[in-house]
Amino acid sequence: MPQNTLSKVQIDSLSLVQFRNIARAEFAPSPRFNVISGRNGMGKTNLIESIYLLGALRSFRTSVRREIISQGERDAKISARFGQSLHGLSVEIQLGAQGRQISMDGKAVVPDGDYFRTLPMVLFHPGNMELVQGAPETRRRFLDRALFQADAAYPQLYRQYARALANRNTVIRRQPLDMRALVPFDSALAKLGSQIVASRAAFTAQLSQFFEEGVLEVSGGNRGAIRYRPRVSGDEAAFLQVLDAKRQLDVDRGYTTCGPHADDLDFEVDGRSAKKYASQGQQRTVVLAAKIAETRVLSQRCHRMPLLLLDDVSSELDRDRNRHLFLFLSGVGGQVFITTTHPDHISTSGERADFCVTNGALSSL
Amino acid sequence: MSSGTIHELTALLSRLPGIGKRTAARLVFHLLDADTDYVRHLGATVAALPDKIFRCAICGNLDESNPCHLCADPSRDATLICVVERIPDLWAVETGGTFRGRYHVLHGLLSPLDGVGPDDLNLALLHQNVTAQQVREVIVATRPSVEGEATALLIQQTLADTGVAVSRIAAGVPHGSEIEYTDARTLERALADRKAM
Repeated sequence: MPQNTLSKVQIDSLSLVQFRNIARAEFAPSPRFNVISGRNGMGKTNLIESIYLLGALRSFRTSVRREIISQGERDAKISARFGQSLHGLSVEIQLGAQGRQISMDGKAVVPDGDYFRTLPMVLFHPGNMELVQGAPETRRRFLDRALFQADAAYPQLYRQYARALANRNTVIRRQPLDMRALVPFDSALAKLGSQIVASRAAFTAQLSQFFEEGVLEVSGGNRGAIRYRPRVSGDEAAFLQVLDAKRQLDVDRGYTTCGPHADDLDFEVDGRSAKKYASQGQQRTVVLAAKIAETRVLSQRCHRMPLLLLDDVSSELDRDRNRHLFLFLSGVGGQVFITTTHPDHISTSGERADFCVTNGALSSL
Repeated sequence: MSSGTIHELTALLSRLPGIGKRTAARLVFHLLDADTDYVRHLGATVAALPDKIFRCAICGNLDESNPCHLCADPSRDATLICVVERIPDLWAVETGGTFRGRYHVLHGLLSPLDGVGPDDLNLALLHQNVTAQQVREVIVATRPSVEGEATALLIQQTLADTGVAVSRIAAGVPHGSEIEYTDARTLERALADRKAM
């Protein structure tokens, strides 16, 4: 892959105000490796969280805005200036009690589906170790988060589906069942749901190719695949039939039992389900290969190398897989942020800046 | 004028949508400074609203006559009905000037999540009109949101027994706009709903 000619998401400067335990911080990261060290509880992950928030517009740690704002303060602010390939774009997010405000180049914006595609980011954190064995929701979130960035139409489609689903659930919880209200939302669910299934299927197929490559690289011989397991097929008419057939069940349970909101992914190693058969080591290979695949597929779909956020992952991987991770990171050429308690264990090749976080204060090493 | 009146008017104005206490107070003090004829005219017009404006018993439009001037206009095609969510939507279609049929105002969209069910929409009257007026086509002009689409399907369902043709307005790239600046989801729908040439 001609990574060197690919543009990338790169932060030239980052400024945080009243963000968790960081009262105020200015940060000028290196275009390549940024190693952020400090003891546990000092605020390393807060830095990763703030950058992730710029790209995803949500945190990976909490859905409560209050927790992100420093105690006793009214609002938190994250601002970043991106590099040349984004024409020096500046993005500012202000989180307050009233809500959030986003501005790009000083102008307030309501982010559309294209926002996520502009600033692709891949996060790799200890929670990802659940990807293989965890609940289906963990794998759906992995897939959806990637799709939000890869497909500009997906975020709105996803929200519309969620809205239709919430409406249908409201209808089926009410006695007696009002068929006049139910039928329109059955149709909406089938129409939007089948589009979601189609987007996910196409994306997983592409992801699976990169995953296969990743597993081969990391394991040195195993064959990997990602299979999409939709709860309902991508056909609108078939979807409607399922909703029809499950109506009584749904009424009894008080929620819609079938649809993309119940989909799952299956990671396979040598043709066997990793969830059922993979060893601890193979599971780590799967997670690492999944993250490698996510990065590669996003760089292809978004036409720029995603920014990479690694929150204390080296401690989750063994020596050999760490070596593969850094081999991969050296090859892709994107901007990388790594938090660790052991900076000397991080073996990067290429330009590197070291920072230290102590009680929310950031210093250059 | 006692300050009690100022407070009372401020409280009344701040009940209007989009108007908070501060804006309400600013409006009151503006009125106190304004030409008295204007203030009296404004007051009298507001006071007359409940006695002058009626909800049309045929289409749900709000007008000074009942039936409204649109339903009463014999030059309009009574066999063609355009269904809209709200009165501003009716005005928007009417401003275009090309639609010469009649309207039907729902006063809402089907949204159980927000507590709006089929019986909260002005549908019984629509069914009655379609049957009584020998309507040939009902055009549903609700917005292309989840609730707008669901409402369109509800209307189709409600009118199924009348045999009337029900159609839906097209959704896609707005006229005079650039493809380049059209959002991805709109373009996706526009491509899916393309027409043969």
